[in-house]
Amino acid sequence: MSIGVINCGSNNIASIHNIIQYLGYTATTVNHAHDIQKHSKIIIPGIGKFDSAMKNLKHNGYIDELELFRSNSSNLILGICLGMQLFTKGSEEGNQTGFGWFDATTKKFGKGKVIKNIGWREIKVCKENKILPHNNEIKEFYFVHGYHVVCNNKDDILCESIFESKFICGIHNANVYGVQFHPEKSHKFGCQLFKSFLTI
Amino acid sequence: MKFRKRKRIIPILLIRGDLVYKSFKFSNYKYIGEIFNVIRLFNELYVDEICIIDLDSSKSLNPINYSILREISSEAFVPLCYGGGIKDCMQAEKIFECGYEKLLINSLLFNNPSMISEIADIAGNQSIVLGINVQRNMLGSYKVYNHLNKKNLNHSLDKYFSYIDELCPGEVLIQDIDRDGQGSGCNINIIEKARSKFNIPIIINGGVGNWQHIEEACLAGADAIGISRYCCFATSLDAILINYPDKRVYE
Repeated sequence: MSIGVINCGSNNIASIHNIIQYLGYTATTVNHAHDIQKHSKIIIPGIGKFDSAMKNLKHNGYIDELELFRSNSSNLILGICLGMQLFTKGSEEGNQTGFGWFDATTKKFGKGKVIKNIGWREIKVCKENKILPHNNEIKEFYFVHGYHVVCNNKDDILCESIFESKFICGIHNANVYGVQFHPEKSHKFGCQLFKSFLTI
Repeated sequence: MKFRKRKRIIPILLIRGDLVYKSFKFSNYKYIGEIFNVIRLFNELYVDEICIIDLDSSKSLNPINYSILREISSEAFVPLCYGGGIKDCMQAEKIFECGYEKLLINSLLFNNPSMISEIADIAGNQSIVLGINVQRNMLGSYKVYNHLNKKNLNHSLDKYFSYIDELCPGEVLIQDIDRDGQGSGCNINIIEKARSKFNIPIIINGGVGNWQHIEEACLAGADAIGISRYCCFATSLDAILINYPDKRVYE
C-alpha cells in the first residue's frame, strides 16, 4: 500500500504526514500529477480558497490523473476540508467548477457575510462505512470552515453535524471519502479515522 | 441524537526560542520548560487547541523560527495557532506548511493593516485571529496597547473593536494585560463589550485561576478561554505542572 498526499498549493500537509507517521505508516507528498498512479491511497487536504485550489489542480494536470486513479475501484481517496469541497460541482466561494464526483454543491454558512464554524463539534455517522464507526459513541472533530457541502443524493451523506443548523460534514461514494473536519487535528478521534482509512 | 456545542479551552504559550515562559501583566516572565515537552504533554491530555506566541518574533527581535514551529506541530494532533511577528503572505504560507491552521496577528494592525486582507485572501478569513491587548489607563479607561512602541492607543475600546470587525477576521483574541497571570478571574466587562460587538468567536485570555473563572467567562459570552497560569502550575506558582481541565462547558 502506498499513500500519497496531494500538494495543491496553500495547505497543511505537514500535519497529515505527522499523524500518519505516528500511526506507523509513511506517506509521500505528491508534487507532480503523474506520480498519483504510484499510490493506492490518495489524501487531498486543503485550507484556503476553492478557486485557487481548483486552478492549481487544473493547471498542473491533476484532474485527469485523479479521474484515472478513481476509476480503479481498489484505489481510495480521502478529501479533507477544502479537499472534500473540491469533489462537488462547484462552490459559492468562487467561480471554478469542481471535480463533480458528487451530485452536490458547496455553499456558505450565513446569508450575507460568511459565518465561520470554528471549534469542536460532535458528529453523527449516517451510514455504514469503513472510516467512521456507525454507532452512538460520541465522536468530536475539529472544524474550521465557512462553507459546507449540500448533497442532492442522500446516499452520499456519510456524517452530519450542527452549526446554526444541521449540515453535512462527510460524504462517501464507492472509493471516495470526504470529511469537512480536520481529522489530523482531532487527536484521538482523528487517529481512529486515519487508522481505519489506512487499514481498509 | 443531541449535538452538543461547547466552548474551547486553549493553552496560550509564550516562547522564546524553544523555551516556554509565563508572563505576569505582560512582564516578569517565569520559566516553565522546553516547548516540545510541554506540547507533548498537552497532546496526551487531548487539549482543544494550542496557541503559540513567539515573544521575540512579536517584537521583531528575531525572525520566525520555522524549524521550531515544525517540530512543535509534529508533537501535537490538535489545532495550532501561531502568533509573533507575522508580516506578509510568504510567512503566512510557510507557517501553514509547518502544520498550523491559524495565524494570530497583532503587529500588522499597527504598522500595515492592509496586509491582513492580503493574507486572508490566500489563507481564508477563518484562519486569521486578530489580537487585541487591553489595559486600563490611569483614568481607569480601557485602552488598546501597542507592544511595538509600548504605548496605549488613543482610541476607545469600542472604536477599536469596530476597526477590528471591519477587517473580517475569523476570530478575535482579547488579552487583558492587568489580569495576566493574576489568577483572579477574567474581565467579564470586556467580554460583554466584545460580545455585543462581534459575531465571530471571541477568545478571552488573562486571569483564569480556577474552573469557576472559565464558567463565568463562558457565561458572559466568550467562545473560547485562553489559559496559561491555570495549565502550567500546580496549586502554587512554585510548582510547575502541565495540566488541563477534564471538564468542558457546553452551550
